[in-house]
Amino acid sequence: MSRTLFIGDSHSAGYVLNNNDVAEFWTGNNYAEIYSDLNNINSAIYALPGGSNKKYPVWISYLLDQYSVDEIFIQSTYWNRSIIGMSPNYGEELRKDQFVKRMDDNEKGNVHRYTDLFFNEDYFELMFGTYHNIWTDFEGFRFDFDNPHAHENVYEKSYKYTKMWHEEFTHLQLRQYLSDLIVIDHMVDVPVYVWNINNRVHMPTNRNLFGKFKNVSFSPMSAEDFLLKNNNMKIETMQTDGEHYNKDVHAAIAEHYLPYLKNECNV
Amino acid sequence: MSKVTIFLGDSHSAGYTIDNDGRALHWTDNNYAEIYSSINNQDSAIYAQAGGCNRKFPVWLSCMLDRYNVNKIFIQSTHWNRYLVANDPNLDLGESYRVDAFLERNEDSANGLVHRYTDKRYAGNRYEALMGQFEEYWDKYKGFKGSINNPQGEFDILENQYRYTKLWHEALTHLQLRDYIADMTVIDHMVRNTDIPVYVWTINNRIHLPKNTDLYRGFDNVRFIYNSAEDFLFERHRMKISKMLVADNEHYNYDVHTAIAEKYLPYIEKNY
Repeated sequence: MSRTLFIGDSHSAGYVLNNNDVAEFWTGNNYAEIYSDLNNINSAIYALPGGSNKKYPVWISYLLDQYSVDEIFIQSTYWNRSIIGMSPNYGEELRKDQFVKRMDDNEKGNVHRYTDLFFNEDYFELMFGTYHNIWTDFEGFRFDFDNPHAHENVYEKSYKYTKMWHEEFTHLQLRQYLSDLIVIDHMVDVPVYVWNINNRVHMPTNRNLFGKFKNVSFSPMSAEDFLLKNNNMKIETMQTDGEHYNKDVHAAIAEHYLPYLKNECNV
Repeated sequence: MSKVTIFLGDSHSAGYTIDNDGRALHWTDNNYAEIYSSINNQDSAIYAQAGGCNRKFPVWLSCMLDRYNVNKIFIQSTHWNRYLVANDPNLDLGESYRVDAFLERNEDSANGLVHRYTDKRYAGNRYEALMGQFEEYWDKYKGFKGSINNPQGEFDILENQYRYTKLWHEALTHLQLRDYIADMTVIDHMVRNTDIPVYVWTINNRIHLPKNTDLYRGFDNVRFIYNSAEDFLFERHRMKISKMLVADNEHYNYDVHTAIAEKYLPYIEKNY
């Protein structure tokens, strides 16, 4: 039996703060689970707080090995997220399921939930975000055609600084993002809908670096804009912790926005 | 125009040699790709840069596929301790970036068969450089503090020098494998549903070519050649290419380039 796949970060992982301000995951505060209930479909969610496009190809590759899939929803996330790791031997023994952790299914049993471990055997992998509290202001960039090694001072600066200013905030990040989505396009023969939950998540319009996509399509409008325009919902005021959205927002994404994606996203 | 063969690679593919005064020269005839084109009277295009690596190859190939009707592609896979840094004052996350932003066409070969391309460092105010983590930049491994009970204990990695964390927590890990396989998958995707073979080969045994290539469900057109030019020329032709170098002790002489063109590339085409 086919399944719908949902890929994303904490917004896709049922994150909520409880009354004691403790973070909980895999609660009912999840558009993907609501969508699965509404449409009486089987689905699988692979999500991780802080998740990003750099994880998505391997997650989808793993899920395609497990299930017959008929559609995929990818919640595109912030571009200031990166991965560091440790492992032996250049990953020659790396398996697709190296970090896979299957969580409890939802109560009804139609949603399978997956996330990533930090450690498994000799392998470690961690998402980190260059959030405001670890930013360092831009310190300039030295380049001189008469001294082509002058720029190498970026080697000596902290990893978080050079990662942010000389990788993430440049065209290299666009290439990485498109490369990840081309890999996904390459692996599938089903529709893949890429969407963003709010307007703080960048969705590129410059997308043809590596040719056209055959299966992946990009939402013309964020959930935030769509729900304001069509449902008069201002989701930035409907949050649980200043970042994550409440159940009304998740329900509206499931009932209104995802069906809109299926109608409006064209490759 | 007849179909064009594409060659991608680093200085070995860019005609690098050292002249009698010890100066580095590029786009000389010390180039297997140009010799192959001459021998086979084959139009070709080379996109190569000293220090080039897989992080550049999808972009380069995309530019070549936009310009030529291609019949086959040879990719000289290079060292995994190379990566890119950039500077982009536009801060537009690449929205104004074009795939050929850094492309620079050099003079064609003397016989006109070969079009030569490389990357410039600046395109407008946008900058991109290849960096290599050569031995002089290495720092010894300092240990790792992460634990299940303190999953942010390893955040001091972010405070270490870029060159250190880039080496020990990206380049020497499975993350590098994922990037490499992703780059080759993007290349495979760009020529999918064509009969264009993509041969990925290594010039010597110091270059790692992964065997764990199935992370993204395999390849249609890309073929990995596990017999390096060094091994092939030794086993079949008794040439010890590590002794056949120009003055810098890294790059190979004309006899090696000729043997790669005459013997190794045809062997690849026939057997892969």
